[in-house]
Amino acid sequence: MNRRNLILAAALTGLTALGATNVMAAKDGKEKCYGIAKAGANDCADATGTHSCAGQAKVDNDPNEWKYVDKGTCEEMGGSLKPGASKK
Amino acid sequence: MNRSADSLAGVGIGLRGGHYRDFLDQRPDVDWIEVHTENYFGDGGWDLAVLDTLRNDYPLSLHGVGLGIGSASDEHFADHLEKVRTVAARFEPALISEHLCWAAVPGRHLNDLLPMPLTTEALDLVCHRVDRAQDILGRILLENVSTHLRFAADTLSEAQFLDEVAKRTGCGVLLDINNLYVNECNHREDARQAMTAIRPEAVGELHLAGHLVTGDSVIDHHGAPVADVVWALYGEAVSRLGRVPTLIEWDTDLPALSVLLDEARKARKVAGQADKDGANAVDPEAIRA
Amino acid sequence: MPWTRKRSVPELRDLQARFAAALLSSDEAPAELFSGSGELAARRFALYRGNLSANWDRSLGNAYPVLRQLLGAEFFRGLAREYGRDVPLCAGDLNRFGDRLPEYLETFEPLSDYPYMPDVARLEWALHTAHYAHNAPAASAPALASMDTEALGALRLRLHPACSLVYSAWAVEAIWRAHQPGGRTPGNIRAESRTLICRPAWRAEVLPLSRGEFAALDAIRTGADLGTALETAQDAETAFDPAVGLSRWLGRGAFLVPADPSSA
Repeated sequence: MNRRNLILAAALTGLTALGATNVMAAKDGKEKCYGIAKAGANDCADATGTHSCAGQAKVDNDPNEWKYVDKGTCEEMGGSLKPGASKK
Repeated sequence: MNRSADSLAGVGIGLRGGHYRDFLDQRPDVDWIEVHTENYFGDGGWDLAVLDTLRNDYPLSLHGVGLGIGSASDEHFADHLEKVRTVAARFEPALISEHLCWAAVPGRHLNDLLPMPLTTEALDLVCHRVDRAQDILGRILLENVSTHLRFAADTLSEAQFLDEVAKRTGCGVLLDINNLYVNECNHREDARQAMTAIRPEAVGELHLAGHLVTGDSVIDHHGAPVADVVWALYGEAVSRLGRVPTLIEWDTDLPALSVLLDEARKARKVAGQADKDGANAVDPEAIRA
Repeated sequence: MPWTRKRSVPELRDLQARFAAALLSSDEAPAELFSGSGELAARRFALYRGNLSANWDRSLGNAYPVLRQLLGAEFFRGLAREYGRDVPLCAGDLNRFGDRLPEYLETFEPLSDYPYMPDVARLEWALHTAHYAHNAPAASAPALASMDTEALGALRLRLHPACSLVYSAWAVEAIWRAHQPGGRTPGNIRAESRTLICRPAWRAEVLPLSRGEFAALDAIRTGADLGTALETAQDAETAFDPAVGLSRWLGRGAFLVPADPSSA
């Protein structure tokens, strides 16, 4: 038996072993899917009111520089974010 | 496409991803559901699978937010319409609606319901586009939107504009009661007058949602219960129009489903009362006065 | 014929072009286009600009939840605005907003200290698109198990539409996992990672791959038959076990059902 056939024979053994299940069977079980929390991004609400304080609309009269004060987790892994400067 | 306009009745709620699980588990007691068409533009996946399932138990309305039917640029229209057609072919909705707005310029989609200049040129364009949409989708409804601004060039009110589009194209009107109120606040446009400027037979659906009052403008954020003043307007709308299918919409900070179901119950109650009152005083002139 | 129609009323195309240009500017408001007080119109116009930014921020965060955690919400919002202006979305579907973010981050100066960010973005976009991929039936282990070695070796499988391979010179798989519930900050991020993004049921997931597994799947992706792909795997990694590898990939729905396995 050449190398190719040895590899393929081993692969076939793996396919018949226990645990090599039909993946489509899992699709029928809806309980597996309840963790999916991705919301569609399209809606018809005026997002200006999203997460704003009561009575306070969120406008975006853009300062030419945008800064940040809250820290992301990236700094735990070394490096630092630079303040971004708008190009426009 | 052959759709029965009669298959939607009563009070529906807007189905959002955050409530999929509740719907699959409980099949809550709502008369119908409405989704944003563009969230089902994918080739497959969970969203389509959920809607495939729920479609068997609820009449469905497809509500588009990205067609931008009034965009002067024609660049995005045909492609978008084709995608709506694909979704409609899959789910066979009872109703399809779009917004009276624009959304794109050459080379860029702005992904918002932008305020339509209410001119005769715009009217011609929108009628042409509605014709094209209806050639492919069958009859659609067009919704009035809330805006922060009106154009100096406007020569029509939004209600006159919509009524004229409906007259010329045979499309229906989706009347958003909250938007009428928001525009009354923002532009001093009389919401009742707006309501009476649209022929009752054109109105195929009503929308109800919450808004946010700010110093500069009232914002249609769909993130609060329907305001009392909007319930009152809704009652008048039902007195004038009868029990038109009504939707509770909530998008921002989506609450527990029970909150939406409470709003739906309230809508049934208000509509029931208004319908009774309306039967006693059918004269629409009385409402207008 | 109205050849010389007066243009006292601005044309629709012009009104919308000016509105859009001002929307994309930093702080312009074409108040003269609107009725009512110019000052109020300018403030209200800013609401539309705020809406545009908020939609970009929300949509980008929907596709890149780990990137948002890495950068912090405020920086991410700034990034979303820069990206949204620089890379126009041409579709009326915000679920597609962000398709060019990985390349964009390659040259995004404020992140030049973070060479792994574009690859984190690549991994997240692959997960995002897997969520919306076609529900094509996947090849199953039992179906392939009935073949003989020759037919199996000659089989030309195709990756399932939900699947893609992500290689990085950085430990992006560990970085991604660190931001899932209960995840831990990785000790060393200077390590290669190889993953298969797949969607075995409805939920998209990240499957870490060995060097050999990645080599095999990459060979399959580019058209190699299964026998050649498995040999490639062993060339890349002597410890590669074909008995484990193939059934593992099939268990995650990695391949489309072959058109006609018997004639392959």
